[in-house]
Amino acid sequence: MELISQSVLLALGILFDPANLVLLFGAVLAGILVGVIPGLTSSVALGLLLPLTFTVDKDTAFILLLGIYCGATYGGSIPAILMNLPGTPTAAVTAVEGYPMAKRGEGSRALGIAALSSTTGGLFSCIILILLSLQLSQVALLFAGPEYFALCVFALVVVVVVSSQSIVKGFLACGMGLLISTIGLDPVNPTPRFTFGIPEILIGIPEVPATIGLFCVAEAYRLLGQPAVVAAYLQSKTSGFILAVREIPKLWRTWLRSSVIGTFIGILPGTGAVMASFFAYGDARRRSKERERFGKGAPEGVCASESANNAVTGGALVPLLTLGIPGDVNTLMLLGAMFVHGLVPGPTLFIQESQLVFVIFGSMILANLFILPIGLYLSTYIARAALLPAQFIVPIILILSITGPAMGYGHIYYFWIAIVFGLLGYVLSRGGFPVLAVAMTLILGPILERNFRFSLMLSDTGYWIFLTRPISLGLLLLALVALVFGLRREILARRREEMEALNVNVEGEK
Amino acid sequence: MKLFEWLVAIMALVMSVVFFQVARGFPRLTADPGGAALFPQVVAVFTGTMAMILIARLVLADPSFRGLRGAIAGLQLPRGESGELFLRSVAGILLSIAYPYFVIKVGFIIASMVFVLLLMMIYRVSLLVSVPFAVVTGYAIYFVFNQLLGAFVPEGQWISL
Repeated sequence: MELISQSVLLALGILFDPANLVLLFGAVLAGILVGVIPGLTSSVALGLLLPLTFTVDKDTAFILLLGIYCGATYGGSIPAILMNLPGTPTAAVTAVEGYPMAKRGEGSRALGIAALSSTTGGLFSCIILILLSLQLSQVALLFAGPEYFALCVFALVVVVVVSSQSIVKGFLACGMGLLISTIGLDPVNPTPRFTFGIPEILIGIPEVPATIGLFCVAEAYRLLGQPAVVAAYLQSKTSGFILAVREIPKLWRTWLRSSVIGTFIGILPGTGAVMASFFAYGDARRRSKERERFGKGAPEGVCASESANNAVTGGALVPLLTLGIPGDVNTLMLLGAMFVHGLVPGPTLFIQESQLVFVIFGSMILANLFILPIGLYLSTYIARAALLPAQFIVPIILILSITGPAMGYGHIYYFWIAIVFGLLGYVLSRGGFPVLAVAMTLILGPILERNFRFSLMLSDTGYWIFLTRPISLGLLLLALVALVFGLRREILARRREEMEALNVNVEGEK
Repeated sequence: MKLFEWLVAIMALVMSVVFFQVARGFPRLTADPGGAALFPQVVAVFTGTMAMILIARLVLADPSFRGLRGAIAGLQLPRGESGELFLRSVAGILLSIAYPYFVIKVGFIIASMVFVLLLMMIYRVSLLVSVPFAVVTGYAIYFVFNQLLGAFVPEGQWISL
């Protein structure tokens, strides 16, 4: 207890240092700006910033990264409301209700609701993050090799099921990632594997440049092939704060329910803010007494979508901090930052780096609070960033994402890693394969293999060890349930497609 | 897109075969059942199976399938406006592959400026805009890496001479 109170005080000292407050505010603002630009998501923003944090201390690095993360998650809502142009995929639902509101002259009200909902959703998830992660970190002490193996299997199966419509494509991407993760020194015996005589590969595939390649470089390649964006900008003059505050009595239930949905979807691996937005919107629509207003500018829709997508930010940090399992691309980037700074997430982080843990909690709370004034008073100006032509953005993304990791590590080999994985990410996404599955396996592959082999080395019962320990068995059964659910969903979708095709043929013959 | 599905399926199949075969030569310790080869071989079999299932699906989904050569010949690149956009991606990819080579040869600043300029030419931006933008971007990124972060930035083999 004494350790916790000491760490909290130290963390507060760091967070309220004027330089760090300015940095955090700047990071939130920069995150919102990036989120506003169509095609640039929070993961791209994190990927571009990550190499720049290699040379700063770990507290400052996480203050910057978390500010960007929270800001970019919210940023997409501004052009979604004012231009019907979701800056990030998570804001697509916000556009459905926000833009019709803006068209009938209620843009300020919609912006106010979005900013207030994002802040409250984010703050709610921070509270759950603090309460849950402190408890879960104790539970994680019960985990040994078989449990970590089963947890990785569960996380990968959920990612495959959730992030891909086709189970085969998902597992294929997963398998490729696992194979790539075995390149380099064997994690148990120091034997080189699959190096093909190239000395640089001995160190294996570094996670940070590979992840930046898969998401940032691939995104730049994708943007190169996109037509120019044309959007109409609806000017909004007032801040909308008073208008949003007036909505509190009407919207607080939607706020609370959507925040709960967002936080718990965030905790699940592979889900993310897009799914949270859709679920919360669906829930708000189902519970509404005036469903016909949805799709025509219902404030509840904006509120549900924005509360839920920002609530994901705190939820996604729970498995990352307590178990070292990233749930989405953003937490993958944050895990990369942890590795770069020599941090090992899990129960030991809460003991050895408790001060940093509280800096992370505090940065999340402050970042969400900073969203409110920026969103309310600057959003109409920030929205103009959405009109920035791609020809100016793409070269900067490409240079920063290719060279950034190499500058941090100091070797040109990392240029090639970012480019090769960028190409892989581009090909996989064009073919409809889940890129997240490859990135997850690059991180989880070595953990999976190490725990698999250590479990077999310590066990007298061989492979049965995974089924004779309750937590491990439970997690494997959950993975099986997720797999059956995914297969059933795919079979039903195929049948539906066949039926629709049949109906079209019959109508054509008539 | 069928072209990319075929590409990934064949790439995964080749990777599985190569990894499985190479793993056969890994040493094995008595204390480590399966040794260094066990995990990659299990994953290679799994990935290879998934790749073959995907190939089978692609073949079955195409009633006019006439062997692998016919399938490859039948694959079409996008045409019209989407074809032009696809070519823009391809040109960008080729430029980024050449970029590290030029960084080694002429150094970070010049290579980055030329890289930005060529990318903007792909977008058909006028030289009046693209040249100043390329110069400013190249130097600004160099300044951030070298001056602000203190990172080592390649000067270039030709320039060092």
